Amino acid sequence: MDIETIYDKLYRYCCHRLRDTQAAEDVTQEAFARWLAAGVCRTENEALRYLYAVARNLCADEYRRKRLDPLPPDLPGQDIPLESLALRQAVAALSQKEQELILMRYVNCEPVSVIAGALGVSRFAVYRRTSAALAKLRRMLKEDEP
Amino acid sequence: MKKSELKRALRDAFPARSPAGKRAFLRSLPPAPVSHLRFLLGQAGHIRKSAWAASAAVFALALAVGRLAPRDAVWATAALTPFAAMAAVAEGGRSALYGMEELELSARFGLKSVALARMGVLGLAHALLLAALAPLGPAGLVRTGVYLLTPYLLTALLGMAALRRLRGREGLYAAAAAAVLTAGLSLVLHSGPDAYAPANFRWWLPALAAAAVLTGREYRNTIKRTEELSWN
Repeated sequence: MDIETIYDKLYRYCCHRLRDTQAAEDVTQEAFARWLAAGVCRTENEALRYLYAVARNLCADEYRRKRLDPLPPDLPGQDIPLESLALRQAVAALSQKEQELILMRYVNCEPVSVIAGALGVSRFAVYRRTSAALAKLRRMLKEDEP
Repeated sequence: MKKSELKRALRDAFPARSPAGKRAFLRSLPPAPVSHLRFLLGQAGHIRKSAWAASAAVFALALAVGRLAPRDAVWATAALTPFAAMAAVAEGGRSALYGMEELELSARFGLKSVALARMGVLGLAHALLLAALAPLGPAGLVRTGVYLLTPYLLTALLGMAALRRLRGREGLYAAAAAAVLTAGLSLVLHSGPDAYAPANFRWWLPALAAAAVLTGREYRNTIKRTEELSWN
């Protein structure tokens, strides 16, 4: 089990949910602390399911607790290619749940079983929703093409 | 954009600043839990090559004797098994031999778990080897199994008792002497009263039972000693 990789994945997920790097880091560390205190989950997939579920709830609590400022759209000092910019805009146009699925499945490369366990839905629902979100993204990008 | 290209491009579509406190946090974490199987496999890797070599040599010699002199295969193999048992026992007492007990007590995996795991792994490997050797003898599976297991357990019993009572190299020498003594006993039993004859098999079962019970008790005492060490 590579803890550092799991940390990075969870932090990216929290960053996306909270749009605040400090809060995301706090939530990531809190999720890890709870996982270690619980002493459950021997395999990596079990640990990921547990950590995502805890992080998701903590993000919801954090979001409710204070009004969060959104992240600046681009990181300072970065040159973003036009194609990447269009993709980011298309991603931003997706619903929050669709973005969450895309992030977990294609950015963090989590197995479907982990996503299904963390979100509390069936594997079939995860397949269906990710495919639909991906199709929607492709459609939006096609429309933007000259 | 193709679907595969889109999936690749998505990895850059969720930017996140590098976490500032990651290193410090990860350093503060206790080590990740390890499953029993992974722990056993890990400890198997720490068993000395000489212990594996001794076990392999016993197995190879037993096979050679079985091929060259099938009639002498049983008692000869029974005379060899004590050396395999000694390898397992010596592995369990390795920490004491090198005076590393206190250091290992403070390590991530305690002395008790490590000693248990190493002796268990070697014991299991020996059980498999003995099970593979048992059908080779002319005396049948059960009888050969009893003939091989009794000296093995007797050596384990004497070796553990020696390592528990004597410190350092003296304990190891005493365990080696126990192995030689048991091997010699097999030779004497063969050449003297012909204990391996079918008529004398009835004496072997109580001997095996006694050896098994006493070895179990000695094993428990050895583990208890490491607990006492930990308490001290």
